[in-house]
Amino acid sequence: MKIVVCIKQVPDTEAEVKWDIPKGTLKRDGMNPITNPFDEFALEEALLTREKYDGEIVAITMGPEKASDVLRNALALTVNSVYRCTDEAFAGSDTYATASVLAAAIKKIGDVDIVFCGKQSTDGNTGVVAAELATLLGWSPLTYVSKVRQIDAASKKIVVERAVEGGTEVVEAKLPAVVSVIKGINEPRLPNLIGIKKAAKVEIPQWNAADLNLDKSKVGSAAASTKVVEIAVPPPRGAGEILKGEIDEIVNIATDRLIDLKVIKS
Amino acid sequence: MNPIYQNFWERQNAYLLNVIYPVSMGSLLLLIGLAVLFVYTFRQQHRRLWRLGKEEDCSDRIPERLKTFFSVAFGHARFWREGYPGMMHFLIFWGTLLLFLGKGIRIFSPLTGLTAPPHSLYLFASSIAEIGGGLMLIGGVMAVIRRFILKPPRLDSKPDDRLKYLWAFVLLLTGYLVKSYRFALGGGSLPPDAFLWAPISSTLSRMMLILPSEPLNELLVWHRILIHAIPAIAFFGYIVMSRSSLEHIYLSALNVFYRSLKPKGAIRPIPNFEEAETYGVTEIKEFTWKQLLDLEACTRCGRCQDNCPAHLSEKPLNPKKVIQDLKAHLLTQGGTLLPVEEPTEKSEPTPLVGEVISEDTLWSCTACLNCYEQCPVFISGFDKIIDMRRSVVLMESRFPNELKEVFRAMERKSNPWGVEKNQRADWAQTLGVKTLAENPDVEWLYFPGCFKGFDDRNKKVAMAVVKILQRTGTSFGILGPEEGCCGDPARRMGHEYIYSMLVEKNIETFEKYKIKKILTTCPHCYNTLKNEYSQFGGNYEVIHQTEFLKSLLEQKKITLKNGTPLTVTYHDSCYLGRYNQIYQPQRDILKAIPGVTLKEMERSFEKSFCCGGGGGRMWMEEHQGKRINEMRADQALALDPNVIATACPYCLTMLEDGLKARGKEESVKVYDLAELLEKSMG
Repeated sequence: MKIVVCIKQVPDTEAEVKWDIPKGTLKRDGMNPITNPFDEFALEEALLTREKYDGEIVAITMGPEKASDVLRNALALTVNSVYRCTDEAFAGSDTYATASVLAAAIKKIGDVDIVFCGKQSTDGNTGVVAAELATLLGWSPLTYVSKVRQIDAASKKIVVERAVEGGTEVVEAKLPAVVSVIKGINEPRLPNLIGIKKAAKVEIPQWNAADLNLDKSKVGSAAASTKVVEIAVPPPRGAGEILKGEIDEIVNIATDRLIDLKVIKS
Repeated sequence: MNPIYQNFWERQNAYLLNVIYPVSMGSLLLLIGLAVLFVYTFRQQHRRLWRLGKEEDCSDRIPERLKTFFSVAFGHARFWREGYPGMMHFLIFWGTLLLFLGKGIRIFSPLTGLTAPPHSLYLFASSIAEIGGGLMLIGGVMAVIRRFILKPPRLDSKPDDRLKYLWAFVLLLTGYLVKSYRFALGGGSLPPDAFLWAPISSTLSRMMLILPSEPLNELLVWHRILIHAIPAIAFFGYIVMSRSSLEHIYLSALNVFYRSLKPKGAIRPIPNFEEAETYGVTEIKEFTWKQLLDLEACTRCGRCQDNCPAHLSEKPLNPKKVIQDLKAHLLTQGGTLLPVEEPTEKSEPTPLVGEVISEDTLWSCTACLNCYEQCPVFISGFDKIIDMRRSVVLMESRFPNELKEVFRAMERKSNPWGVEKNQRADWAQTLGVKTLAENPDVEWLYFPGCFKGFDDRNKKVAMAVVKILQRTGTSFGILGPEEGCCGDPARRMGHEYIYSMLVEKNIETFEKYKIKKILTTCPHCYNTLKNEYSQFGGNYEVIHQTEFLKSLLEQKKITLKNGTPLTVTYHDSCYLGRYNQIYQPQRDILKAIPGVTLKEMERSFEKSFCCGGGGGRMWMEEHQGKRINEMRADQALALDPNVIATACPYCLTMLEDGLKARGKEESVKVYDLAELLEKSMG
């Protein structure tokens, strides 16, 4: 079985995010880039799948030089090979443009049975790349998967559970498929030191637009169907107020305030 | 000469020459045989096993080693912490030495004519042998009473434990018996001072005077060989060959001599960490030879288990069992008298964790070092646990699930909680503390540590320390956001990789500001900065605040005025006490505070009971047995104190939680010494 995992490098989710407001982009300097947390679940699911059914895992990312780190992390976790898609022409990609690059890479890898992605990235939060990828490839889109029940590569069949409002949906689909996974599908492992050290020495192979047979005029900002026109930081919240006194008093003050604020009617 | 003496000595001399002489010569030959056997079995049974292990140089500082060796082996330095077992062992040990000394002199006495009048050396030898045997008997009876009647839970008895006592008693009694026979053959003509140089045999011989004398003489020769000499030689052979616990006589002695002379609190680095391909100890052969000697030197006395917080709180870890299980596993690798086949390269080595030591056992250790502190012969369970943790963490990334976030936080945020680095010094803002970036020209770097930076309760302690420093005009600064985690929890959880990253980063920062003197609040930071950073090339004068505050008191820079009557008990931090032998400054500070009455818990000083937070346990679930912090809180509550004083943020947090669990958080407060001191300054 051939498994592809798509990984994105994002700014540390626990760090304070700083925006470059005029440019509408993240201020990345001084930030600690990490593997998109949802992609960690995808990577772990790929590792579990390989443990169960055998096969090989290829991890891919699209991003600048620094993004090699997330692939090194994947290598430390023993994926078989990695590729970084990078080209100046890719700059300004939106989700669709990104999905086109990834789809081209997956085609180039060839004979892929299943693609695992995180349900969304923690920086862009669009959550559509997996679906776009499936559309571009013409494969089964399986989004928000909470459990992979069974994969049968021979008869090209996969059964998964999807988290839907109020319950789970069991879906059977044809392979190849693009599976986006949600938090809690598994418990991602950490790489061991031997893996980290081995990965540190590996030269990360790169694919540019030409390698992927992509027309430079149809990638990056040129291919983007959306554009960020403005970014605004929400105004800081004022300090709260702690009401003190007898319980009846507090209730009266609180209801008066809520009426003033037109939250409730008198 | 007095005719009684003359008569007696004539008979004795004749007896010595005719009977003892041949017996002695025979015994000497056998003893030479025994020595050869000892050398052979020592190489075969013991040295061969140790050679399975890795190199470790333990041959430095010989004079210091000899000093410890004599004070522990002969003076029983570490045995006396427990009166009964200490006395018992002391009597048996010194009794045996005296007996052998007396016996030795007497064996050689016929050769040198020492038996000739006035016999003073002979008589001296006789008396010390008799006294020695007597001490052995008393100690032996104490041991038998303890092991078979009192039965403390920490002792487990094997067949060897019955056999060795029985055998030794037979030898002692037959020894006295034979000697008293010999006296009795004198036909009632014992010299009047016989009691002085043969108190036991002469008394026995008076009971035997009724026996006929001469006809027994010939028989007696064979009798003594049969009931005394042969069993004695066989006993020595048994000790040498059988793997009886009596092999501790030489193995434990060796272990004391070769003990580690490095600071107790320092964990050894992984050699050649950058290039190494294996980390920690996965299979038994990855221990050093000295660690394997540790295993062999254990006599199963169980002092470690009586003081282990994990064992006492009913967790799967029992340090004695860890050592014994590893020892049993070591013995499957050889160590028999006959040569064993060398294991082939292909045979899979047994992984220790999972097969010999369970994961729950491995992760129960609080790194409190009490097992090492209590062991009379310096056997450490702790260093082996760390080595095995390193193996599972670094080689397999296998550890309790909750640690994943802790490791990540330490790696990314340089603190175990994962709070943003730039919030580290928020507490100091209101106090106007300058960072070294703002003012590098200070005497002391104050290194409050992660707890002070990110834990709300402990921020108050750091603030108290700062107030004292400011009021006493101490020149100091902090690193603020540039301060990194000291790395202690990572190292003690086996994650040497994260530890070394944190250490290197801190050393880089220290060098940037040319830091020489560091004042710490947290004993964990203190220990690693002081004892372990030198392994990475960081050498500083590191002082813990308790010592610093004590010196401020001594220099009269602090005056204490406010005092309300308070009953205070002090809880020793493992990392200050056992790790670094700092026990007294804390007590001196408390006694200096007006109104304080200090009460000591039963488990204090070297025997102090861990709060349960060390060794990374602070961040692990405690899902087995009782809660260690609650047990410690109970021990403190038994003294009915108003305040439990600590000098460690881990202990502070753990004990406050312990009190909450008992519903006592309102009536009993936990304070750091610095807080109590600062309050009292008014």
